Amino acid sequence: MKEVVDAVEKTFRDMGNGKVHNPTKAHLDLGDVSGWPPYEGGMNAMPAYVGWLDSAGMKWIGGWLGNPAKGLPYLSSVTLLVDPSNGAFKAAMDGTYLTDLRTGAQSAVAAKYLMPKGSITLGIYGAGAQGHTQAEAFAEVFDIRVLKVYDLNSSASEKLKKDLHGKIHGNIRVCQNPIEASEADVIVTVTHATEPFLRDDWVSPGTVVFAMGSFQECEEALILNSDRIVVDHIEQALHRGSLKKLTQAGRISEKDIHATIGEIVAGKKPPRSSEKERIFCEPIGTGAMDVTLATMVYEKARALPGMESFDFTA
Amino acid sequence: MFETVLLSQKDIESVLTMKDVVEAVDRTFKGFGEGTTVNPTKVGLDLGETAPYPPYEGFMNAMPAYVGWLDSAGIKWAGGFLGERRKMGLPYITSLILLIDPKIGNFRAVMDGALITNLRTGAQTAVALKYLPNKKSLNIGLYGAGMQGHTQIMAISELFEIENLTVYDISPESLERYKKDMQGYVRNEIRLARDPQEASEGDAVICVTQSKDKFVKNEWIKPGTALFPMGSYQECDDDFILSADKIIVDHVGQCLHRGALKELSEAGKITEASLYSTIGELAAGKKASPDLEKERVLCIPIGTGAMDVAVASIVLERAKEKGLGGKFSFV
Repeated sequence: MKEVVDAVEKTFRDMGNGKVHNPTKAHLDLGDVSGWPPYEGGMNAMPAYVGWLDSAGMKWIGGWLGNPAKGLPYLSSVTLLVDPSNGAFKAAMDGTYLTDLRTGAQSAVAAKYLMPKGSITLGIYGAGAQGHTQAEAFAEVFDIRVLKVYDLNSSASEKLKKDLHGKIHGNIRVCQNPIEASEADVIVTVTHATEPFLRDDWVSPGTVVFAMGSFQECEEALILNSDRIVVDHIEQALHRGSLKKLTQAGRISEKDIHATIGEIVAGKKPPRSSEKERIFCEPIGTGAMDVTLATMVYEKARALPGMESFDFTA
Repeated sequence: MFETVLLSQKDIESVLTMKDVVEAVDRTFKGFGEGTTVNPTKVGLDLGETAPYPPYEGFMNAMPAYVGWLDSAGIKWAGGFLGERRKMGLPYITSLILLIDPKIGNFRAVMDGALITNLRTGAQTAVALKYLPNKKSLNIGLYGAGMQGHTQIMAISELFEIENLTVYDISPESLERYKKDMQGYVRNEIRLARDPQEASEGDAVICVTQSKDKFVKNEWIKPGTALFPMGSYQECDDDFILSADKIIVDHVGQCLHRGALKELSEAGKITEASLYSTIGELAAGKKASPDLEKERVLCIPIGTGAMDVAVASIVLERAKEKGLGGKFSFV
């Protein structure tokens, strides 16, 4: 996870310096938007070029709401890598595991710049795979004094507590009531909630909130009353996730975004002007991060014996 | 948990004919017209094709689609590279196609996309022509004697008799080779043009070049001709585009932002209202075919992921029957 966090930070810095190409993802609706075809699914194509690795690739990833009930994984993904100088395909690999890792690292790296303290209390909503990787990534960047976890399913929270035992320096507290996890320096929401649950009046001054879900997890007032809004990719963040509804209603626009994470990491914009500011951060996820991690995996894996290769051009 | 089939160009070639491709493309155009195809605008990744950074003179396009009549979804990631790739002697196009089960998302196949791209690009023109002139035999003008110049004529010959063919290419060697390769598809002797204007007459005039020069002139094109500029850049002059009687495209969003219409669309001189119909609407019988006796038609099948997904899905079924290809479990 340390390597992942370092790599994600480098890619954010490259984004701030204009060394990354990351076009807005293209969505293929398989029923998650329009109902045709009727499969309650959809796929996002996320191509990117990452300058510091001189690597290009594309993650194709989607989720199917009906899958968990069938005992199938919610996410399905493959990432492809090409040599950007000549277009030759270098690798095809699973994309779901790296998605979980980079999603954790994205918020941890952003928090490194947005949160002035080195020792923090961390509140996490959602104790699934992403809840785990968020906590692990934050543990690389911060001394976590207390980790507070809330999940609708308290056995999931208990499992997270057990899984992360020894990996987090501080105590892990399983919250019975959602408000408890909001008493923290940094709050991360990684849920499938379709209704806002994190309330404006729960969140104290100085807190940094990361809303990572695909739908809006925070009350409108929490977003609108934040002192600063920070995102990873302006176009994507306005049209997906937490800011989508407010953007469509014309209540949030590009001028309400203080900075991108890349601009802050590259030192082009200040993270904040006072410790009292409440910051709302939306790292919705970029293909550049997936290409970054996939490239690192490829470089390590190609040296290993027994890696399978296939010549598509034969 | 799931097994993914891996197919090489050779595997694909062994189970696919141009006739299959033409049929699949025709059905998929109908699906577009009927609204059973989902085909978002492709998303491009610039690797130096237009912007100077990174300096690789290339691009990659991500082209996802769902094809209703096959109930299949997939994506083609394909690009073209002029720099390093050309020096290595590799073909211009690099491409892979991924197929998923649209019901649960598992990856069914990863396969080469270059061969399918070449074949379906030819078939797109052939099928569009099926809905344009009311004729069984055609006279054709062709610019560009490369790979795509071959597949265009191979595909058209599946649906029409080709009476006369005039070909122009800047390379005389390419022309000579082309004649040798393709004479069997054409009734009369293939004419090799010395001057580009000679190839501008016919029922269909097809441009498959990488030219940025707008070399086809408005005054060359007569009523009764359908011009197909298939290249990534603009191959005919602005006057022709602005004065053509009808403009027909395969995909409105894509055609306004790439290829022949790009510049005029960005300048606001061509808009969605300038377009007569899509090929899909003609194929589905939702719009009347143009009157090619009197009209000059501009037809742009810029290429859609739906065609790639359709052809790839047929390939996968046949490859599975024959037990071809490799296998890999990503999850």
